[in-house]
Amino acid sequence: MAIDGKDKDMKFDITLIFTVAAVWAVLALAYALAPWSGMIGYAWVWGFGAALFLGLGLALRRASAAHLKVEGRS
Amino acid sequence: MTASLRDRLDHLSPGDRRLLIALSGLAILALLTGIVGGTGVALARAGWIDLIPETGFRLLTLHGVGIFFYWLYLVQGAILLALAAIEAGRGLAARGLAWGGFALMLGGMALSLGAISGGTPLLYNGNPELAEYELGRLGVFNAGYILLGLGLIVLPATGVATLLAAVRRAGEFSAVGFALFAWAGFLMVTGFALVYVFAPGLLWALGLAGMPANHSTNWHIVFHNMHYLPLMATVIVWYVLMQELIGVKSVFGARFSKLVFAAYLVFVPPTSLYHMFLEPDLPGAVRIAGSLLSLFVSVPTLTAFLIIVASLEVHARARGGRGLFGWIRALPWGEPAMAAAGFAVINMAFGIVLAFVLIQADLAPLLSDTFFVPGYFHFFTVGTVSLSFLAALALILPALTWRGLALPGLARFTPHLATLGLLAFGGAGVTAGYMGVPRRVIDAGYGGDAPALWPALMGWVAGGGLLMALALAAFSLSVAATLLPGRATVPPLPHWDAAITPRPGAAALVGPLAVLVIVIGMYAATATGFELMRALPIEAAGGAHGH
Repeated sequence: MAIDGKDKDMKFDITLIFTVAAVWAVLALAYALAPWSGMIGYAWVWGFGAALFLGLGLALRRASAAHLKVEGRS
Repeated sequence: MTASLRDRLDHLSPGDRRLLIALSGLAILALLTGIVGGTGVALARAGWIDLIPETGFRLLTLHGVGIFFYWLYLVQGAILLALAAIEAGRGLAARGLAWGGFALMLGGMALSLGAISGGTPLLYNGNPELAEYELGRLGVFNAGYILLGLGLIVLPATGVATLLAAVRRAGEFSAVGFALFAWAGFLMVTGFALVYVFAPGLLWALGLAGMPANHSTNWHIVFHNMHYLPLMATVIVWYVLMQELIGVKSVFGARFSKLVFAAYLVFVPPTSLYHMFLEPDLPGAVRIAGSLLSLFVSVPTLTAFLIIVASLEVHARARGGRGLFGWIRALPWGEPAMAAAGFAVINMAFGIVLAFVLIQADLAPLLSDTFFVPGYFHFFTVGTVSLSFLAALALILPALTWRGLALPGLARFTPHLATLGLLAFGGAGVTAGYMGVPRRVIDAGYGGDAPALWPALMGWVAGGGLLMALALAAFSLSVAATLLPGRATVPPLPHWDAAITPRPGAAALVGPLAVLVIVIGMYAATATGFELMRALPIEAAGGAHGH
């Protein structure tokens, strides 16, 4: 399959969204394991955010794949 | 050249238009409500009007709830959906979902405003300790924020669905499309944070749980998000406005812009530690880590600022703009939206300088409960964010209703006046903060017992606040006039001819110079703060307080 600039850009966009999910997941883990009290709320919120951006990244990848399929390139 | 924003909005279905108009109208109503509350507080603090403390705190609550929660989030919903709809080119997907989000936010606003209309004023953070004997009121107040939070999860989902539909068709995102996608996600996370933080208080009010013991720590989660989301939205708005008003796209390319928009989501969450500087049991190592991380908090905003200013300068020079600042005069300042966005950029520079003073671990405990805080954050909330959002509405609403702004000749000068008022309010407020004037009091003169300088500074705060409020209200009403039936059809905006290709290697000096000035300003404001506070005859100690 020939990968044109548009596909490369889409992969870049999807990678950025997954990067956000990864950073937030690490942050949620850090807050969940923090030894001082009261920070578990941060873990819940950033954990929710990590899961949401993971979902958004997957949805974006799926939408991109659907476009490629319509164009007959997948 | 792509079709203008107005042309693309022109093709939206009547159903999409109705939704966007309803969101924008409610947002402006929330703004005007909040302005009334804020003006009352500013005048009372200077002793220009006489209010009993309870009324003053009620107005302060009205101000914070109306503007910080409902104006800033309703208007973000309106702008996000408008831009997503035209990005997709085929209107909104899942519009029913967006109406559901709107209904939740409307219900939330009704409950929040209803709860603060009587009884003990809870302030905008709904501190449960203030409501121990008014649990019913706390329950209604918290239910309002929870509905707002649910609305913030549901409404941006329409934006996400619309943008995904666009990718399925076109196979790509523009820089703006990507930014909208990231922004929608961040809005949904903030909606979740609102539900998470205010649900325990509602459960307590319903007798289903004990008093929330951790509210002040949890409050910072939602506060941090609600702080930075509008800033992210603002730079997206600037990006769109520059394309629409001036025809300028980033000279650094779409990919770099996407990287900067994603940087908001990467840099903002880890920096939330600085809100914990007032917690006495925070370990020293974490305090140091928080201080270091806080340095990153403005990286995306400053980078976006550089992209926009450099792109404008390169294009303006290609059109013949000369001198270090001469090119700025060539921009279309006659447009109210351009004036608002231009002054928003200037105000953001002031805001960033002062924000860096406040987020230093050694200064935060000394300044966080002083008037420094409202002095600095109005440079963001009014001077940067609200002006930018009104600028966006000044373009979007005429395209949706085909009616123009009221008194556009006056509206174009309201950003100038708002900035002038802000300089008085913020300058006096920050100085007052350095002098130790507390924030959350209504009589800052303490019945004549306060130091002589305090009432004088509060006078400047009141005068500046009044001018700022009148200018912002005038701009809002001018924009809101586009919603009134029976007004004349508006002609399309003239387009600045930016189609001229910039010279390769063209210099753009103002952006980097401005950043240098901001850094010098941060250093000067920090040094001044230390010197002034060293001269104070009191020793300050921090407690666990929320902003």
